Amino acid sequence: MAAVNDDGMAMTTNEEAAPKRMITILSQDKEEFVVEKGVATMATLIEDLLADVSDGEDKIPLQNVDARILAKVIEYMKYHFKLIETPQPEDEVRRWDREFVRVDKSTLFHLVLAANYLNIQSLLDLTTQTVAELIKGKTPEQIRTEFGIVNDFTPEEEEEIRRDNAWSEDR
Amino acid sequence: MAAPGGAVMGGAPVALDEGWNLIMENGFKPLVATLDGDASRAGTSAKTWIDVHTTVYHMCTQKTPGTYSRELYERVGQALDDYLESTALPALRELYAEFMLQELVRRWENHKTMVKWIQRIFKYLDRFYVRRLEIANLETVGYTVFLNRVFGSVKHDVRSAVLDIVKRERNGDVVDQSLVKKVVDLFVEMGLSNTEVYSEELERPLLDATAEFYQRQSAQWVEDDSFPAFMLKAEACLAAEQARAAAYLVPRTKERLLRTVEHEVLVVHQQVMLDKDSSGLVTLLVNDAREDLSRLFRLYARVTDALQPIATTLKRHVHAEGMELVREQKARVEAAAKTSSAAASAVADKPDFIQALLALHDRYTDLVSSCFGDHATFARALKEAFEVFVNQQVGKSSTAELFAGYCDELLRVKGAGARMSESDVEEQLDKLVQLFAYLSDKDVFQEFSRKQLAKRLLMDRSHSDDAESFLITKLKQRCGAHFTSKLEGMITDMTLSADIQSAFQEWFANRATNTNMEDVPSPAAAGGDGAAAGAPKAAGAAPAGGAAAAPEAAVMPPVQLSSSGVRANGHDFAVRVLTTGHWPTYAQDEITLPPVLSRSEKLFREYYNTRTSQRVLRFVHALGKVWLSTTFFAGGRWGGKVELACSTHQACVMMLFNDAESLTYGKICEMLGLDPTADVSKGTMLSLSTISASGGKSRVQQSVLLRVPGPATGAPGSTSSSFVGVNDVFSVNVKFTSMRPKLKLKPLHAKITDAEKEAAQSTVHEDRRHAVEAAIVRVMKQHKRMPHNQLVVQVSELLMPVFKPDPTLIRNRIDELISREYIKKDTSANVYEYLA
Repeated sequence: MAAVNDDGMAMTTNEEAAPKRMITILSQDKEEFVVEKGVATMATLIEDLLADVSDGEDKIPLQNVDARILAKVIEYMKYHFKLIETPQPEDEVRRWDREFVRVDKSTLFHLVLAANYLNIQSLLDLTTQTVAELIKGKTPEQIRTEFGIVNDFTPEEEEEIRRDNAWSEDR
Repeated sequence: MAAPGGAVMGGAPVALDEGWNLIMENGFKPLVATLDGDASRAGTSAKTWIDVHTTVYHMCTQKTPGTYSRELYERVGQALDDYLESTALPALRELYAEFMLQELVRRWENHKTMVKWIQRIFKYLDRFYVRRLEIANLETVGYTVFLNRVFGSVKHDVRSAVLDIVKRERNGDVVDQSLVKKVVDLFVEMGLSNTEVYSEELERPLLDATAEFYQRQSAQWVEDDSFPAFMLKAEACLAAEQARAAAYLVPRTKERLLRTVEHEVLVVHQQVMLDKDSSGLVTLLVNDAREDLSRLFRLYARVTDALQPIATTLKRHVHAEGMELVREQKARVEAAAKTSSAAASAVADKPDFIQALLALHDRYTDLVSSCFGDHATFARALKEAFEVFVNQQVGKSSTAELFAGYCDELLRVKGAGARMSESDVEEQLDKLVQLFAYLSDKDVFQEFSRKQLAKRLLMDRSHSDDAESFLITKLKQRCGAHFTSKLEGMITDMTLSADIQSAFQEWFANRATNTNMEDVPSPAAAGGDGAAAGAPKAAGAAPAGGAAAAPEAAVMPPVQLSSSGVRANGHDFAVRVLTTGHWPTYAQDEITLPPVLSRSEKLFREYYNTRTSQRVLRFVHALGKVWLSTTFFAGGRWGGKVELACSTHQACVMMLFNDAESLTYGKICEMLGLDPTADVSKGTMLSLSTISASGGKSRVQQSVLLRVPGPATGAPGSTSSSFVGVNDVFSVNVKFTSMRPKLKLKPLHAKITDAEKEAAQSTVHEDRRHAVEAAIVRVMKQHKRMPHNQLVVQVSELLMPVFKPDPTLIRNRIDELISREYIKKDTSANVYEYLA
């Protein structure tokens, strides 16, 4: 991001005059992502880290998140960070979010994990909600097929669970 | 809700001890080192931080060998506790007083930093484990550890150290307030968002210590200091405590601290200090020590119920001062009474006493307003004090009477008020009305002031209409419209009379052109001072009007010879029409007017009947005034032509001498239709004459008639100069000389005479009987049945604004109403019943 506005008026206001602090984030597979500090701290993990680590020169070597997912997460953070400055209509934001999670299941699951690890509550909500919608209205058998899960319950166990959850079957 | 995750991307499962050690080595220990000031190990790299955090994350999310959330949660608390026990506590135990406090504050700050770090590193615990199990979050765990491990063991020492610092500051030392503030905050924070720890561990001991401190201090002050000095110290210590509270205590404590000090210093010693010899409240009042009195109020106004003792003392003092005035006045009246009763009433009527009361009231209302903030408690105290001595009887006069007298003094021509500026008069009246509020016999005042107003109005002796209406307005504000309705009615009558007079004039002028009656004034008479010269003639006459049988009757007092009057029968003539009821009752006085005057009277009657037929006119000649042009006096610079201003009675007598040289008293009375024994007849004669035989030369010359006492009638005192016998012979004193061309004969009394006073008193008594009866009927009508005592109370309440009824009076009136069968007594229950 440019530190100076195109029209050259940047020096007149304090906010935009100071060069924005950039943060370098390393993905688990060592790819560097340089982002504005405000974008980076959308992730509470990074915000917490910056509070404790005195020297800001360090690159932040994330674990658990690879470059492919991190890029996706950063896209999300950038979009939502920009919303703070230039709010969009709620519908528009919802539309963007829906588009954002229109990904394959593997990516979706990894996004859930990344959001949890990085502690980005809104992204965690968005992704888990999306997973929940995939499950909704499906029988256990359908879900197993959908997510490729092998049924490891014995028939007795299954019966017991059914009994316990009988209240939910009616609906 | 289960934590998402579990599948650790690219990470091997973390064993408990392995992970914990990594966290301790890479996270906890560097932090402790930083906080303890070990620079060599300061700072954590981003990588280390991520490692530690990720380890925690894995330990909380891994499926194999299972999550260690519970273990981590427990170990974190333990680690903090271990650290505090091994490091912070021993360090604190080595230190004392301020040094210990400083160390404690530093340790607490460090601990908070540590807890924040723990919270961030172990956030995953707070996010899921703590939330799911609804257990204390890490911050609470951290604070609790400090509370139990450190605070619990040192709090007694800490508290003593704080109290010691406060005490030293109270004794004048300069102390580190910011340190105390931090310790106080620590006590608050130790409560973990409830105030119990602070209240119990610090606030209460502090308040106890404060009470003890000021107990000792103030006991000393009471010994050593005067009341004013005591108050200065009290004020200073309250200010100091307030500043102290603001500097380092929590806002809530401020009030409690001040209440404690107020109690120990102000409340405990209040009565002793108020009563202190030579510097107590009475001394302050006597010396008018405004500054001290203001301070007194400022201090005690802060304390609930503390003003009452002050007000009580004030009341006692004002009462004593007032009673002293009453006593002095009584002494003066009694001293004068030894000379004569006239002297006594002269002294009693002097405005000095009322002025002294006014000054007293002035002084204390001003004091209450400038020093005591016009507080209701003091207003009440003043009221109660004044009510007692203002209602004392002084000599023969009640204060109510004297009040009315002073009003008259202020409003009467030649009274004290005539020499004052308009605004001074109004100020005095205003104050008088304020004082008047304390009177219980308001009806007495009402009756007297009515009589006096009547005199002022009818004799043109009021020097300011504005001042008159000012007084009425003030009374109206104070006592309500019913109280002033008669006074207002009188004023209205005067205004209406002016209208009637001009209408009469117009009517008369028209009548003069349309008819050719005998009594039309002759052009010759239109001159200035009256009709034909020669024998003594009445030039101007002004008959006084009489009250009438109709409810709104009319009275017509005189107007002197004036150009505004109707010039009829060779004299000017004017009438004032008064409404019966508004005015005092005037005696029916029949007198045969000389024809010239009776024609005028007839004329006015004729006119008046054209205006209304509903009203009956009755002339009150006693109030009339006549200007006479005389020609029969030989002496003097004015060639015998002297104009006499006199009453109608006097004029009638004088005019008899137009046709006779001398007349006996008996004859005069016969000709005028007067009762020879009536005071007014005798008074008239006495006012005109002197006894020629016994009078000195100078006295003879001052009198228009001469009197030769007739043969003794045998009545006692017949030789006295104030006795008039029917055989006494009167003749014109031709030697009469006057210094002026116009002369007033001895006027009627402008002030109220003793007889009138008695009349006023009996009017009041009569009115009170009616008022009590009316009140009884009102109460009974409303309640139907009522026991005696309750009835008396209710009736008294009803009447209180006007006067304080005597219970015997009420009882008498009840009996009267029973006999008239308005109510009946149910003897079995001692209850009255209303008979509709």
